[in-house]
Amino acid sequence: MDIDRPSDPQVSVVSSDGTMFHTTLKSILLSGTIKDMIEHIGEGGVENMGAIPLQNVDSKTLEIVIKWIEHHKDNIQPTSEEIKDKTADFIDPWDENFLEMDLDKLYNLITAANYLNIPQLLWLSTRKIAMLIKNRTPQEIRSLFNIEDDWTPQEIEAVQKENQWCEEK
Amino acid sequence: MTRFINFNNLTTIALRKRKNETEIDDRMKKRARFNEMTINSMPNELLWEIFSLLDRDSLLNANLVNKNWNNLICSTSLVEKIDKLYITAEKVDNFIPDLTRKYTSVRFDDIVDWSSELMEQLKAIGKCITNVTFVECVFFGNDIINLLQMFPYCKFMEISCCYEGCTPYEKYTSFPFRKVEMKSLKTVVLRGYSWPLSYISTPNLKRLEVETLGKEDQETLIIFLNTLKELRTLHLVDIHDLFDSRCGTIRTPKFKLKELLMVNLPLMDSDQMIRFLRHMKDSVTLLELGSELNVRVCEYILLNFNNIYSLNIDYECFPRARSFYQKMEMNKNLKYLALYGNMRSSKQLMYFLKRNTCVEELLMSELHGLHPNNYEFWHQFSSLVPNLHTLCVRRINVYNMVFIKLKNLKHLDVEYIGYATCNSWIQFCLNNPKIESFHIFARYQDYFKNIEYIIRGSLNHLNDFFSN
Repeated sequence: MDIDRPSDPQVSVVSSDGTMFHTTLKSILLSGTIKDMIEHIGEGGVENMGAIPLQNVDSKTLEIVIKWIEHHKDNIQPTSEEIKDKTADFIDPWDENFLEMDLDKLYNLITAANYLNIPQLLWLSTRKIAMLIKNRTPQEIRSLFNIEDDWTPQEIEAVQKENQWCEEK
Repeated sequence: MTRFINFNNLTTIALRKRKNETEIDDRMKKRARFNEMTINSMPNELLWEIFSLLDRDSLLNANLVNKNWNNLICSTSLVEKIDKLYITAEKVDNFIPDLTRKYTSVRFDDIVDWSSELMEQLKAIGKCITNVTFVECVFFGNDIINLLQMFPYCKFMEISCCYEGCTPYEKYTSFPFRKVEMKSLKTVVLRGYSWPLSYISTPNLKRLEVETLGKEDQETLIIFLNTLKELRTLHLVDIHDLFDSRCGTIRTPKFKLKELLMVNLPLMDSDQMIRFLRHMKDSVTLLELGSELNVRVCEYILLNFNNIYSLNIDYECFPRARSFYQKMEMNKNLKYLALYGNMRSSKQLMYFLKRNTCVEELLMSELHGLHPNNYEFWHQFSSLVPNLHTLCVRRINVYNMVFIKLKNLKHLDVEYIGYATCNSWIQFCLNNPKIESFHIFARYQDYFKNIEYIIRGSLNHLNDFFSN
């Protein structure tokens, strides 16, 4: 299939709660999952194809995802292997700004990026959470993410003891 | 047609409508609740994605958050980042390492009995521990040569010996032995006895910390020091009769130290020490001198080490004679000065500061030994350290604080004794207008209620205030 042709046909996707979104083929192809789907249909199928149902993504999250893929449709996307090797921590300021959202939206975005197989978006959103975990004490992490502390004092002591010498290093 | 409205019908329609609405509402709410995700409702594989982006230290913290996170971090290949093999006395009998892992750190904790069985077990997992770069152990046996051979790529080694091995003399004469060459070793921390040093050759050692050695261990230490070429940091703590000439002669070292720490070294051989230090008087930039040091050595260091950038020193180490300070050259390299111990007289410090005029950070502990009316020192203090931007003082008499007038002071951390009035705090703030962080602790509870208000009102640049 010729992805690079100048005309960029319209594609529709439907969220799990039934909202339809219109976007372009070029942007939607950033999603590995949808790319596989479309390649499966084969040439010429795109124009006649109906709206693509996305059972695992709700409308709020899909809106965010579409905003991101439309902004990045002309950029070359790294594969997940390339991202794993990534050492430079450079983030596009647009992305930095884009990721300023509530935590629950961010969780949904991670799940959606994983389901839609958009490695770069998955990396960006998980990195955002990782940055929040970084340099925080366990208690701070618990209160930030609203996690219950389910250790007994004996258990935590044992784990701490094992950790201790690692930290001293 | 509408005129014949059946009221019965109307109510049912209305009811039905309301019922429908509530049904939808409920469903919406349920969905909303369902969509309200927490980090724990994310699938583990995605949590794993997040953890894989964390560095080692953050992983160690995340490890403690809850059981699920702990399981996740410890059970996956992420452990390779933590990569610890932790062998304690309780575990030693049923010690079952995970053979699929590659460990990079090993710690032996409280293992008293270095049995041959343990050695056999360690040998059995040889493949997993060849990449170990960090070894920490309390060693009791004299089988250390076998232990060391297991960690050829070790970079850091901490050995606390509680068992006297054979003295090197006996070793050299009784049977021929080859030293284990550990080319990767950069840091050695040694406590107790020095004999393990006679088993290793470490051509690339950068850092050596030696603590608590007896007189009989000097020989091994001197022989070892004579072999080093790359050493940059040397810590010597709690050693009696250091460099005792009866234990051998220390050669002119081939290395040039950058960092030197000497604490509690009674009865050291000052001639050997000075000979040892002579070649590094220009290279040392970080220096710490603790109590119980030879006066001659202290004088030698203070007079000749002119490139010191950071100095931690016990008050006791300052020579008493005024004539000594007249011999000192003016020095502008010293930026950080920390003073420990109990300060009884301020004169030596004043003389010292007159020669070191560019101090920017000053830490003074235990000033309560000073006479409270020691105005002379505090009057001069501000002119002695005009460039100071950080001042940390313990147990200063609060009346003396009024004399501190430092234009550039930004960070203040004070523990004071005595009672201060509002006016004296205001005066203090006016004298030091650029303070950005202000931490104060009263030794005895004071009128603390209004102090923050007063200080915040008097300082324009303040952004950090803390009091007890």
